[in-house]
Amino acid sequence: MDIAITAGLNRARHVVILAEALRRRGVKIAGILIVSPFQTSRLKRLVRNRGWASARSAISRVLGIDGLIDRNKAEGPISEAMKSREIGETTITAWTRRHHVRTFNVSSLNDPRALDILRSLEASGVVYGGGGILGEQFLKIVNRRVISAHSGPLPAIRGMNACEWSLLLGEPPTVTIHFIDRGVDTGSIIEKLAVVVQPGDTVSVLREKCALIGVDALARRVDIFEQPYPTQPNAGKLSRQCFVLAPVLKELLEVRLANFTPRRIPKEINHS
Amino acid sequence: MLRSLEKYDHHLKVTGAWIKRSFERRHGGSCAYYSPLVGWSQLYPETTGYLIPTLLRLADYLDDQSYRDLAIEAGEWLLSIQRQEGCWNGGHHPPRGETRPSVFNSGQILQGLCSLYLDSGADHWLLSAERGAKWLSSGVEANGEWLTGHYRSGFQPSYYARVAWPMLEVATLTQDDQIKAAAERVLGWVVKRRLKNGSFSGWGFEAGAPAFTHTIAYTLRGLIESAEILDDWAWLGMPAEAALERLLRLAELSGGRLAGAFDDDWRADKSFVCVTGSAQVALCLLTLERRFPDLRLVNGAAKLIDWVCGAQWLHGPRALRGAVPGSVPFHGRYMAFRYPNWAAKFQADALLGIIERMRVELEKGKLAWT
Repeated sequence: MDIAITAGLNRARHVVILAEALRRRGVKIAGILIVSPFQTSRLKRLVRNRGWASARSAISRVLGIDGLIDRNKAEGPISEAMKSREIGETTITAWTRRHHVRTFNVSSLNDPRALDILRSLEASGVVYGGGGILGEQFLKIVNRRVISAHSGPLPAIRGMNACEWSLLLGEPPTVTIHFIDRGVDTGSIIEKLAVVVQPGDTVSVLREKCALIGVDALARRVDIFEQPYPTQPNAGKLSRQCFVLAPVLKELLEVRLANFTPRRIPKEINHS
Repeated sequence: MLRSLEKYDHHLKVTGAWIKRSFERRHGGSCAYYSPLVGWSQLYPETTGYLIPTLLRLADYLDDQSYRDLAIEAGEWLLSIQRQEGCWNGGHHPPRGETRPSVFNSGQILQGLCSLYLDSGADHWLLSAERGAKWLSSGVEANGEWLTGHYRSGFQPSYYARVAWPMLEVATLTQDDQIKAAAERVLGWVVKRRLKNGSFSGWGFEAGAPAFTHTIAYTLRGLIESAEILDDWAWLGMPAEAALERLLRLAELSGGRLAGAFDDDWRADKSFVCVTGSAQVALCLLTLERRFPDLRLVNGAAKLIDWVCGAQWLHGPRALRGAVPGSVPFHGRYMAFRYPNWAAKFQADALLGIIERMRVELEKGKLAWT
């Protein structure tokens, strides 16, 4: 079984961990498609809609000099995992060079070039590690066999900043492994895993915890590509979609996390 | 206090000061707008009327009696220019040329008078409001339409839901069934204009033309507030939900930079932002959230409010400090090159709303599932 991986950034360390986990399981990676973030139209749209501050923040993220993927910042779950698993590469291309896996820089996962590449890979399925919304053509090429890790409990918390929203809306933090379909986080659910929140956890730490739980579960679950595609739709009414937290709500969450003390130890197994 | 709440507090104080300045030029009323090209405009009875509730809220929030004094002064001025029939004229004051009674403007003034009555208990406010509401109700036909008194002659817009709302406020305070029945007829007329895609035909200033978010929000707020007063969400609130959900989504997808106008098919005019309308849509979302608590609605409102605050002057010449433009860019289609007093009003209302909502949330303290 050959699989393909997508990524939104070359510096996406969770994708490096995912690729390494797959390699260690003996899964052949046909190729990794990395979406190039450096597009003028994207930047223009960002500045127009959200202002220069957001654009600066996005550029920092891409260059790896923001808090989330800053190698110099205090150790987070992803850094710790990379150390404990002895993964030295911090970019996808560094990892693929070492392990002789093909990478492809694309401007969009849905553009003709990306679709041609995907076709050529003849993958049994795709593990989604980021890179934007997938179009119908992309899904069709791999017979809809695309799985993703969503940082929130589905179907209750759909959309962006799912980890944060689950905390704000009173849902236990959860990572959901699911198929991707044309809806927003509406694909068939494969597995749900609890995320343990500990005193002192920040939003950034929790996002990394979710990412880590997600990639490990994805690596375990690729065998699903060899099973019949599930036909049963998920139960439950479509919940209101979540979007990026507004600053005032992000601050509210940070205050609540700072005051967090657990009342009980969760019984669920934490796969982190 | 959250940094964002401190920011909102600061913007609110600056806005409040600008609103006060809009009253300085003339005795009693608020100037419709300030323009760097022509200076302060004439007074605007309609918006002076619905500035009154905002002034009273500012008085309480800032613990500053001068805002209440200003509200009373505004009310007295409005009483002094009330027509014998009970209504008020359209347009600015003093009127130029022929005077025409205005359905919409009279409706908005009723809100101010009701607020003053509730704040003080003084009967004369309610008596004046009742006269105005009786004039309005006497003109409503069986089908819910007024035949005269329109902004555009011969065209009754769906945003008259926002006339029915204050009529119901008066009806509730006076226990007047005729005023209530007339308001219900108007609302029934509006609801019938709902289209399958959730929009309402004729919710703009002109038949067949795209509607500014300003009048879209007028329509929706009129419906949901009336739904609460009549305790009939199914009839009046539910028809507004689809439009509100769509506006929430659009606000989120645009990062708060909501398009300034939409046609009946929801085709957006993104060439400008109707800043007033964005603040009003935020208010609609916060109002909806009072009924259906969901921080996702607050999130969308916050993004709109943050965007509106970003368009506000915080420094600069006295007349501009605190001003909120009609459009961004400044030459945009809505109130080009002007800073309307109602843009400031709706921004202030939205800020008051979100500050209050977030304070409630802060008091909860803990993460909800623990």
